[in-house]
Amino acid sequence: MKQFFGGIHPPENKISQHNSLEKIVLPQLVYLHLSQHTGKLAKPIVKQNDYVLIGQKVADYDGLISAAIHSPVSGKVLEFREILHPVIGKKSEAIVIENDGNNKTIDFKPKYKEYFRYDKVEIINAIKESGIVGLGGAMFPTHVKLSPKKEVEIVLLNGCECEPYLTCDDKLMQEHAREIVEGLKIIMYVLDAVRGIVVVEDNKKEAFKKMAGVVSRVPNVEIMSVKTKYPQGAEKQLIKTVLGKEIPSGGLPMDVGVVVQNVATSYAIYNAIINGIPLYERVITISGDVSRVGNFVVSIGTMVSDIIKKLNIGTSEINKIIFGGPMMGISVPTSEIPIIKGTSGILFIKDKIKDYSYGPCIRCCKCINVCPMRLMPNFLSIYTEYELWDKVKIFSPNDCIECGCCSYVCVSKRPIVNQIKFAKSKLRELK
Amino acid sequence: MEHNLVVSPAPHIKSKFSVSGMMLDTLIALVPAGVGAVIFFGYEAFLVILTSSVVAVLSEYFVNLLRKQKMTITDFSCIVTGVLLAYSLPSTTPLWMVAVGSFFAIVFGKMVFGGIGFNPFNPALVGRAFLQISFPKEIGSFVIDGITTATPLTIIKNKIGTNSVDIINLLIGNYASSLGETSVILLLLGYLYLVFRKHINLFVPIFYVLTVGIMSMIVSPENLAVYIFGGGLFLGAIFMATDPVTTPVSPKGKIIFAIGCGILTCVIRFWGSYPEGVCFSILLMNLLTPIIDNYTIVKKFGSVVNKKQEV
Repeated sequence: MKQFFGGIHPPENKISQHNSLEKIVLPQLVYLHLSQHTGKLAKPIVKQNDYVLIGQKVADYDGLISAAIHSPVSGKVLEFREILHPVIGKKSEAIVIENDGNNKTIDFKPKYKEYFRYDKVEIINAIKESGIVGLGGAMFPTHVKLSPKKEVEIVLLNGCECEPYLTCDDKLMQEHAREIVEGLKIIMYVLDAVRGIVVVEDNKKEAFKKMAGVVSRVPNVEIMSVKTKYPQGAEKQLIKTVLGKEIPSGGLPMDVGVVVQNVATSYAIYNAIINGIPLYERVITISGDVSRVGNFVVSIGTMVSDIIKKLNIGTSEINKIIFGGPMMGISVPTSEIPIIKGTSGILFIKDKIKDYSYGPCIRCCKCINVCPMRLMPNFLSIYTEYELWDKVKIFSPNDCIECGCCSYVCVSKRPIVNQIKFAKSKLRELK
Repeated sequence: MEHNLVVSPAPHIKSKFSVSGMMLDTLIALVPAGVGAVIFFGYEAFLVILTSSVVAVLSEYFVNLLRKQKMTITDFSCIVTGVLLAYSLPSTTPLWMVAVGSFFAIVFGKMVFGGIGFNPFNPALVGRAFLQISFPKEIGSFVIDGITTATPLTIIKNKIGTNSVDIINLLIGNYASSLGETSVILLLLGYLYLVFRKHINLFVPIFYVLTVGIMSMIVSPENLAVYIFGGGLFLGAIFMATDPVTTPVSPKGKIIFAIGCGILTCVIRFWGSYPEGVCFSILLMNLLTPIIDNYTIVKKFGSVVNKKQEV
């Protein structure tokens, strides 16, 4: 099997891998951020004191790259408030809805059960109306990804989940293999793709078995087990491993005739097209140095503090909350932050690192040996430190996928990936 | 919990690698050669190693105090420098001379540039070159089994007879030479350890030795064994040409560096005035490191455009 260059093997820590999916009872209040996707903010279509039902659209896409948002509860729209956003890192507008506990849903009309009888544009539109975005973490609106400007022959279904701790995709594949593969068929139909490949890392034996069982009965779809290695799940590295093709620098998967979708996204597409249910809940992993861990189906907009209370998570010794995995996730300053569509996990960590100071680069080359984009992180780090932007440009910071392997291996504990992120934003400013 | 939440940039987990760990591994890799030195040259060898290391640590501590810096002696890099310097000296070097060399290596080879990570030259070799130029007589006299003799390389260089050391003894290390450079077998143990721990590039020592071997074969095939096994080649190739700070960073650059070292070593040995050229060749190549770095930028992912493949 082909391998991508570099990568690391951090401790897997998949503590919650044996916990079945559990639904968390709906919270009292949900906080729906208007920014739950890459692109323009969604525009609210409800007013204060409006009564909304489960699955009702409360905010609509605005412009080409944007996504709709649906209510996960039935109840009254309480207010529009600025609250902290887990990804942007500052306050952003959100719709606050009070749950009346009646669980009244809109009438889900599964209109496209026989999706292959409908026009592709119509199906893409249905996906757009369901507010589906990439659930692996990138949150790119799915309907845009499914309307590529180039011909696509292969769809890769990404079930790698290479981040330590996270097990939500693993569990989803084990319990909803049929639905996920059905979702893949819809994606393939929409894209006119001739080949679908489900890719699972070889540390998820159970998920592989379940998926392989379903895949064997579906024509044109195959399954592939790949080596467990971080960042195996990164789009470019995944394509390199599975197909041996390198996406040109600055390009997209469609440049090599491929579209990559996460298994959770595929599941959401299945729900939207076959059952008519829009995206208002998702599976997240709760894990870390706490006793209560697991994989939970939660409503989007649930506050982390509500989850802590509901699950009775002992957090007295916790000093770090991370949205996402430990390699690329974002640590947040408070638990008063709601879950958004791209949240794949919440980690509660007892962080033992006391000292965040770092030493000079000793040119040990460990970062060069692990960078999956074959960049030279050492030079990017040094030149960013000295603010020599012309030099930084030579080492193409914009090709960095921000996987964090360089920071992970650095012997001098330099925050290399953070410096590269800074260099990127600085270069954008200077342009 | 709320009040003591830490916010830090990703990634939130770090590997166990550290500078001190790396240096400790290098020291472990140097142990076999040190044991060999004491066996071949007696307890004087041990005294030289001890003096050199202790003075190296004290010198770095002294500069730290003087410049009111954070203490850097705990990263063990000064001990590596001290030990490497000792390994490149004859066992009969007066201890005060060893101390001067070690002080010079740390202060003028490393600390004046800003300490670890900023020195352009390998500090141990700076110390060694300083001693060789300042005290050529003492640094050039070697004793084995109580008898002063010339090193095999000097014998060949000055044509004062033929080399009397057979290849077995060259490999084991039982001949007149500097402390740590004699035994190829013991040095190779260190090489294997460093490669196993992934601290050095596997190919750098191989290319260095191969280059020297090929050039020696062309110029002087009858003394091939002495040129390869009889000097500081293996010590330099394994522990100095692989020094992270002073050598190029890209794999390609490292190979260019190794080949350059090999060529310069032979040029000095065959046509220069010194019998041994490892020390100066590595120092000269250190000088070229930034230029090599400039011309060997790694080709990034996706820069080689694919031919459209059939599915």
